[in-house]
Amino acid sequence: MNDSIGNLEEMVLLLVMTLEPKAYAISLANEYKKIKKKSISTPAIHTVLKRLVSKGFLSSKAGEGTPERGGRSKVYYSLTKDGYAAIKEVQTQREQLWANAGKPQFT
Amino acid sequence: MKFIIKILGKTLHPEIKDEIIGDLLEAYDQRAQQNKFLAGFHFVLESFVSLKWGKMIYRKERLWSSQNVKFSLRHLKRNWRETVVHISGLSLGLALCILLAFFYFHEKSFDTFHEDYSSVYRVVNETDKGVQYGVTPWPTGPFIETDFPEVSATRIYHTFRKTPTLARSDKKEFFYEDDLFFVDNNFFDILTFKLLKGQRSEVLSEPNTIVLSEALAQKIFGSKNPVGRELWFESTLRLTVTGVVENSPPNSHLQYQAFASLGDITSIFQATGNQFSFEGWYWTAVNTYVRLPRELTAQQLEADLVDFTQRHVPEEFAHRRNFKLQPLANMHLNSDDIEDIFVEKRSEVEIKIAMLLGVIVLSIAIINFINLASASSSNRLYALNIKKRLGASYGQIFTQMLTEAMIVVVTSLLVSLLLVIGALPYFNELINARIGFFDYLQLETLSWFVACALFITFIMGFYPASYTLKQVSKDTFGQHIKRNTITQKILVAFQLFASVSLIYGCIIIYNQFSFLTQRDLGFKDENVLMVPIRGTEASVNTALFKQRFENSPYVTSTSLLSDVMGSTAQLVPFEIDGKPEQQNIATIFVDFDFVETFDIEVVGGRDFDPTIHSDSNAFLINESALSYFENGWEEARLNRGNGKIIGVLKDFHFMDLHQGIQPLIIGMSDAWRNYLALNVQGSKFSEIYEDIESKWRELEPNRPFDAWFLDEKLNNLYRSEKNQSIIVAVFSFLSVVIAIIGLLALVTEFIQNRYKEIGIRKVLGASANQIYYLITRSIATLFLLVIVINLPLARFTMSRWLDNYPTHIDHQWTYYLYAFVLTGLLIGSLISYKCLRAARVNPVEIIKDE
Repeated sequence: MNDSIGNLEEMVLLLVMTLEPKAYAISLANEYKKIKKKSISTPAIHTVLKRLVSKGFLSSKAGEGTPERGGRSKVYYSLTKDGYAAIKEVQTQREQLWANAGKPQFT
Repeated sequence: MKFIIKILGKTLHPEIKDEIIGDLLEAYDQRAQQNKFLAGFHFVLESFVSLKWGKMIYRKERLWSSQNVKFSLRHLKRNWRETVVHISGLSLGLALCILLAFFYFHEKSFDTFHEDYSSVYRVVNETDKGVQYGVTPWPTGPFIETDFPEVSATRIYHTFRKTPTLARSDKKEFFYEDDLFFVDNNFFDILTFKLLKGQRSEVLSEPNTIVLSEALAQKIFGSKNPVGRELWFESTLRLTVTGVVENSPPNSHLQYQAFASLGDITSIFQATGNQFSFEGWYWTAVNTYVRLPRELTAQQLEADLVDFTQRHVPEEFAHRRNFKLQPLANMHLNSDDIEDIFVEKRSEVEIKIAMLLGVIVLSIAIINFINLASASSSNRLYALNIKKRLGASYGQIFTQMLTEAMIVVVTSLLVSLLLVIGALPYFNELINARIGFFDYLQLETLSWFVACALFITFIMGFYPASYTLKQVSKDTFGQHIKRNTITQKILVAFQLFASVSLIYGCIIIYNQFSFLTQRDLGFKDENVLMVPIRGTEASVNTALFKQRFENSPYVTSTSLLSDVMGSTAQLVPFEIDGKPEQQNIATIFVDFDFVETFDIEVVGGRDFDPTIHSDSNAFLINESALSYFENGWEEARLNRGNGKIIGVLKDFHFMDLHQGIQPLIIGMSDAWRNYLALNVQGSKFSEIYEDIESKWRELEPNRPFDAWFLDEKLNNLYRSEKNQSIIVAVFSFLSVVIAIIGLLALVTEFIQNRYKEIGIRKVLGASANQIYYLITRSIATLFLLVIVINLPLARFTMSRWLDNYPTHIDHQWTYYLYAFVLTGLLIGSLISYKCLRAARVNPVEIIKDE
């Protein structure tokens, strides 16, 4: 299984961390829009979530249903240990790079 | 929305169904607070995308493995009869489609080889009555250039529609060259035919220069370098060869042999005996082409040309000189309504019919596959069920069946390419083109190809596969399956439908073609030998020639002619009493024996009479021309020498049959001696020809004797119809064959599935006839139904085709009856044979097989 993390995947993992324990597709999409100033479609979020689940970075559990969902239950997502490790690693790598980077010479 | 949710609920995998639908609904709810319509739109879109979480796909197993290929090949091999039917039908269908696609690309590619062709336009001359002419007055081009300096214009003059002669400087051998055009010196900048020798800007810069096509240069000068040599045009004008141009590309509207410089118009007119003026706005004789600069659009120039007409054209013609611009690339296909000379055109309806034919052929082949694959699926149910029990998923079975379809499609595609390579030379001959196999196999067309192949695979695989899967899901081990026959009936009906339509189309096109070539033209065209005499001694010393020819035992009468009867006539201006303006009327010039030679009926007045001296200034008219003389033709005078009208002839087709009969005036003039028509008799063509040729040689040893029979020439005018009818006939025949192969296989399958039933019925006492009736009943009803639907549709389509011809056949019930009976007989007899064999079978044979 491919364990690397893409841009959108990283974003979604971070969003799940922020919103836990109330992280599900719609709340994630809303938060994404607030931060990125750009909307994302529901199926796109689903795709990323399912992929992260299959990589073992997220776990899911069924939640309550609401009237606007036609009584269908939400599925809440939360980070697994692997997921946290993976995103932490990305962050560490990035900090290292920033620390070593010089100021660019604009021409 | 409920409907969409229902679909999603059925398709989505149960594990994640609730989550996804719930999320979609919630998202909709949020968006709906801002804009309901937009939210709905997003919902539909997102639902569609969410279909990817379907039952078959959302699974962790491998859907496709290389095993699929092995299984598919095994299956195809085991059922090799069916495979052969599939591949032969489909490859034949694809090959026909590819050929038709080539034809389409060829027709669409006309004149697009010129550099920056989209900035080149032809000037079309429209009258206030909406009649469009492709020819313009002489000054149009030059005045456009002076008024709009940024536009360049060039003119093409076809030497007054007569075949001129060319000769080397020794004047020993004469060549009749019909496709010789006089052009302005900037011609090659606008129509950029490739020059093989000479520079574009230089070749025609001097007057009296000529550029030959490669073929003509070869014909006149052999392998010697033609540049710098001299040629006699019509024996009077000396032209210097300055260059060689490529042979005219098959996809050019202008089919040429040579271009000569229009630098010295006066001497060209002298050489051709033309007495008209090239300065006035009256005579429309040249094609004018313009090249627009990037910043000027055709609409802008067209708008400016309204003022242009007012500025330059004298008032009496101005209303007939509305100049429009036609894009160069449209000249070939969109010139149906434009009266032209020398433009190669094709009606767009023909292209559409070809495309329709292609679609029908391909559909028949695809439907064959679908029919057969779903019909034979019952035989596979055991195998598939076992596979399912052993753990295969629906998705895996599905992809295996798609793989089978894919293998069939790819093989057929390869076979069809071979077929195309083999058939291309014959096809080229039919459509009069030189298409090479690789000409249109470019990236764009290839990607279309691949897309089509994938699409075909998908439809071919999808229906049978999902149909079979449905049966598998019912766990029908060894049970008899209730077949879903509605879809199948529709498909069979389509095949019958296509077959009847194609046969009907064939019958109509064939009848129209034979109507065009065999119909009564109103004059005698058999056994008329036409001798071109212009520029020869015969045009000067006509009486002597006529007398000599008439002495021949084979010749019964002779007549001078200005034009080829039944093909063209020139428009000549006449002043008619009581009409305020000049009228352009079609005119042919003849001599005293014209009516007798062509055996035309005189319906009023009298024929020309050589004993009455004033008759040489008199005119005959045809019945259609009577409309010009409301006050009676007897008293009317025509302007030319105050000519009197002495007789009226019954209407005859002096123009080709693509055009209707128009008013015609027949006069006598010494200036228009172009052909001598000989009415010959006798059974041996070669004897006649040699006898007349020997007489010609005695009188005119220096000029070629180049005679031909009128009826052959006229039939050549309808070559395009002939080829078209051949194409449609061949294609229809092949597709009907494909359809019949499919139907036959289907019936065989159908009977096999009902063998047991037939056996039991026989044991219970049914006769062979009853069983035969039982099996064929459903197909017969379908056939009748198809005919009822087909009738108006086929009629409508073919009416549109027939409307291309002013004179055409009418629909008759018998044509339809032929089509119906022919299809019925073909299909009926084959199916009956199969059914009767089934009905005669011994029941013991079948039932014991348990």
